[in-house]
Amino acid sequence: MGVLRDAAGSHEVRLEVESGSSLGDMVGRLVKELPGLEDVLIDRVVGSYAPNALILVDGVEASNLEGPSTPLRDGSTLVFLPVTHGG
Amino acid sequence: MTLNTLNRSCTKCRGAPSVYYRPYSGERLCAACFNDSLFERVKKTVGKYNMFEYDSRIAVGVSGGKDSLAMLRLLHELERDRPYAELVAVCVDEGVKGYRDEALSLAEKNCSELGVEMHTVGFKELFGETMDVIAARDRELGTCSYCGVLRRRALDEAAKAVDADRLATGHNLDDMAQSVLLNVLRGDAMRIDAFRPGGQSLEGFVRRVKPLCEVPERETTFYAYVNGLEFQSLPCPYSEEAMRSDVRRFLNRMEVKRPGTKFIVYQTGLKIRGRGDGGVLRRCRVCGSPARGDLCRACELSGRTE
Repeated sequence: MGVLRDAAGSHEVRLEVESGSSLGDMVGRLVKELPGLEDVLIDRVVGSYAPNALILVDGVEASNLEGPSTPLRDGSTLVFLPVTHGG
Repeated sequence: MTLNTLNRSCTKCRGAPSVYYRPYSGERLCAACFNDSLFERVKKTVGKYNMFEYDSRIAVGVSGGKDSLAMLRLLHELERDRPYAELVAVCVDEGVKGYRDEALSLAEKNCSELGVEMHTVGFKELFGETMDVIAARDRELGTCSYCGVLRRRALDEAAKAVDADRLATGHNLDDMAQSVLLNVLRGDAMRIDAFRPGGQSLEGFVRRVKPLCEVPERETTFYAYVNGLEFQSLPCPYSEEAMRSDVRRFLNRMEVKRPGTKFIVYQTGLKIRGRGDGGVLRRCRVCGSPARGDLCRACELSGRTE
């Protein structure tokens, strides 16, 4: 959504990943496929999306699961919410 | 491990599966309890700082972003049991093309859904020029220095125009913590002393309050999403110029590493307040607006001395 949508060039992306992949694997694939997304999504100092975005995995915010290690299932839906300054 | 086994029950109601985790408190909340907890936090903050009277006419600063729309909805819920209180939305159009136009139409949509009257003021009509024009000029200070001051003035004028006795702005915990650090980094003792979420009263001017001051930005974002609020999530194109962006990045990184940092910085701001050289509001000698010194910031920036 928002700035992430603009950086990705689309509001929806479908990606196939290997069975047993984690959220972190998916994010890694995503920024490889959509290079414009990396600068906006990933904080280089922390090395993670955590300071910049909330990611929901099938409706649950990822830090309520296992964060980047959260396992994905076949058909998992991820929602990327930018945490943007400006109210 | 499957997703189902990872998903723990809500720590509040112990019934529904949790959807949100608060690292600073360890709570895992279902959507309903998350909503309730945000409502309770805002209610408690409003009470703690005596933000409203039972019959307050509250101008709600709405920009179309997640914070102001979340605040509008929460205040609407809060004021439902107060038949003598009223809400009216006030919006500022700075004239930043491709940014504010979308936000204002989202603000209008949200206000209409809640049956809240909306009143918009523009930089062009108030100050004679838009922010895009000011930004394009050669100037000493950053764009945000001008915009912040003029936005505050515009909101004050809008609140007065709708006969409000309170002006609620959507500053969240992140904003508050950033302000504390910014004021320390700038050595601005007067602003440190003026750190008041509940605002101050000055005759003839609308008291400014910050009901979301203890709600983290991640939570206003999640609240807006789970409640289906359509909000603008693009940052202002000028925002990267500001020192606040550097402070914001630092605090976000610290919060990931050490959850609770933002609350600690905010509470430190409250503790050290009152030890500066006085934050009592005075009146600008040129225009009569609230000022920390002899002149208000708007008159200072525009070079007006009489």
